[in-house]
Amino acid sequence: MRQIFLLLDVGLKYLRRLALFVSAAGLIVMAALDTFDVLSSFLFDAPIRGISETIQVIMAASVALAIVSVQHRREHVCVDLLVNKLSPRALRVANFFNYVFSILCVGLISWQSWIMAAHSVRVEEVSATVGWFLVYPWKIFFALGFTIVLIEILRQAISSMLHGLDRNFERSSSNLKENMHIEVNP
Amino acid sequence: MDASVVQGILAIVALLTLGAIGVPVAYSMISVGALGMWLIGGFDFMTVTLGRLPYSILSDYSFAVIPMFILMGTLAAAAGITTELYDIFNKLLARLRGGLYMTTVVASGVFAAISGSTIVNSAVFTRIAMPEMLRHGYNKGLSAGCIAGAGTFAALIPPSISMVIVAMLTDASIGVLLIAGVLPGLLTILVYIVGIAVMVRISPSWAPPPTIRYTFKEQAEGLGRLFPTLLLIGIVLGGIYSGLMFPSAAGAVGAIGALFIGLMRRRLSWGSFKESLISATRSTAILLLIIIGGLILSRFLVFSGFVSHLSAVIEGWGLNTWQLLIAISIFYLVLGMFIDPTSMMLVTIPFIFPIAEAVGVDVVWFAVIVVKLVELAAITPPVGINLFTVMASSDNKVSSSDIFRGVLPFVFLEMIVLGMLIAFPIISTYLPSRM
Repeated sequence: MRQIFLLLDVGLKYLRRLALFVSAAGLIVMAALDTFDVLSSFLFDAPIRGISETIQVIMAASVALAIVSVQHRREHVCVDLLVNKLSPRALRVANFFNYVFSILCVGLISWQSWIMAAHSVRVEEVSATVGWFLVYPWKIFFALGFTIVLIEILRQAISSMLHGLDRNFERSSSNLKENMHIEVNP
Repeated sequence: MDASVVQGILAIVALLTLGAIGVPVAYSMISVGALGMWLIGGFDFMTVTLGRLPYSILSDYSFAVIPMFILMGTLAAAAGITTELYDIFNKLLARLRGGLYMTTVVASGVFAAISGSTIVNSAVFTRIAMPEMLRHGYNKGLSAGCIAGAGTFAALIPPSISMVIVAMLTDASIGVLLIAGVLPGLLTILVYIVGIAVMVRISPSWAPPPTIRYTFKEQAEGLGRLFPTLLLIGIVLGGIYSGLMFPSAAGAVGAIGALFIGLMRRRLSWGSFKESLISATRSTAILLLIIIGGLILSRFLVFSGFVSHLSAVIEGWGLNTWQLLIAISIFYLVLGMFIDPTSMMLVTIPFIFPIAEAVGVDVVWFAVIVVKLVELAAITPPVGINLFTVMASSDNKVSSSDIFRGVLPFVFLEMIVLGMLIAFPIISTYLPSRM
């Protein structure tokens, strides 16, 4: 059993890295495309057709694929006024609710995203402005992103159950300032 | 009591409870919004909304402004623009007493025009300015407070992500709101500089007498190096102000421009490029997930009738503009002590804005005041996100008591600016009216 979990852990680690890599690449591609469009418009008076639609679908997929990394590092913004003062037992209950609500949210979004992606595949959805640009693969990436997040939360929940009190959760929740060196929030 | 009010109050209580026990803000808002929609509209209504809304938000071109501004800020920091700004303004202001405080304020203000994130500003300047200030015998708490306070300029000066979020939540024009923050941002910088000059005059021990003087040649050389950064800021702000570029496109051009500057000056290595790209990606994911949560929650509050009912009740009180603004300011100041700025905006704006509109408050003016209040929330103890950032970035050189004490003069300065913004709406509305 332990071996299976370790194997899943390793698999998920590579999946997370791949998702983050694709997501980061998506971000720089978005910036490059938008800049290229601006230059093309100003220099040659020839805006590139369908650029904003392309950026839109890349953004949706990129962001969804990046969430798993945020989840793994527990970098979500938390307002943890009470957590600092909870006893280990109460913290375990809070931890349980944390996972329940996280699984509920991401599970629902993931489920509905697959329905949306399946529909998109069925109709072979393409861009409305540029006929050759396929939209459905990006919707699959979008659904996949949320599904990987769901798997990561389940992994964290199982790990928390197996190891008793989740020290990571305790650390991330009780020490907000540790999270603050990451560049979040306006 | 009306059912919609009960539902709304229960939703807010549930949200605060989930937040208090450590559930991430984004998941708290999605859970409460989803359950609320299930209760008022049925299971199908909830699933359809959850199926469509996240994708439609993330695939909305106007939201691309957020990752582009974040990317521009992280690439500019990695390209060494911040260090350079600090160095240049230090040479100009070193002869003044308290010059390093002022250098931090001005450099942070200029960097705010590249980075839309208050946290990036605070973190970056803690690493650059704090060692210098401590080395020269500046007051530790005040130095930390100054960095945290100056970090908040990014919330007003475009490309402000806070302004973009307000625009998203209120359907206002992103470009107009971004430009509206220019004069209030400059006013804040001015008030900080004057405030620091007064402070160090009253209490000379807070800043030692200046010892270094730079020649005119050295100062002029520094200004010459500023040109590419000013050009970048000019292109981004000019593009938005003139309407020639969508804010998202301006952000993209800014990001590629920052990358270009970094490459030209050989300051951007593959490692730092990768790091800043990944950092921007994660920050974008964190922020957009919260926005998804906020919009799901606000959709529930609107559908339940809570927003319209609350607006009607407050309208019935017959408050005038000033009374409403003062009441909202007090509400935000108290809330801001305990809740982080982004969460506060997302939870409150969906019902605060309709109320302000109903009373006849100018949306642009109101947005600037709300963002100023949000800015204040970032530096008001005990939960001030910028204070934590400075502490975390200072390698344990600054304690919470140091910074909590040191930031108070800057909270006072912020209150002065807030008073001026409320008293003189033209500061916020002048530039948008010229667009």
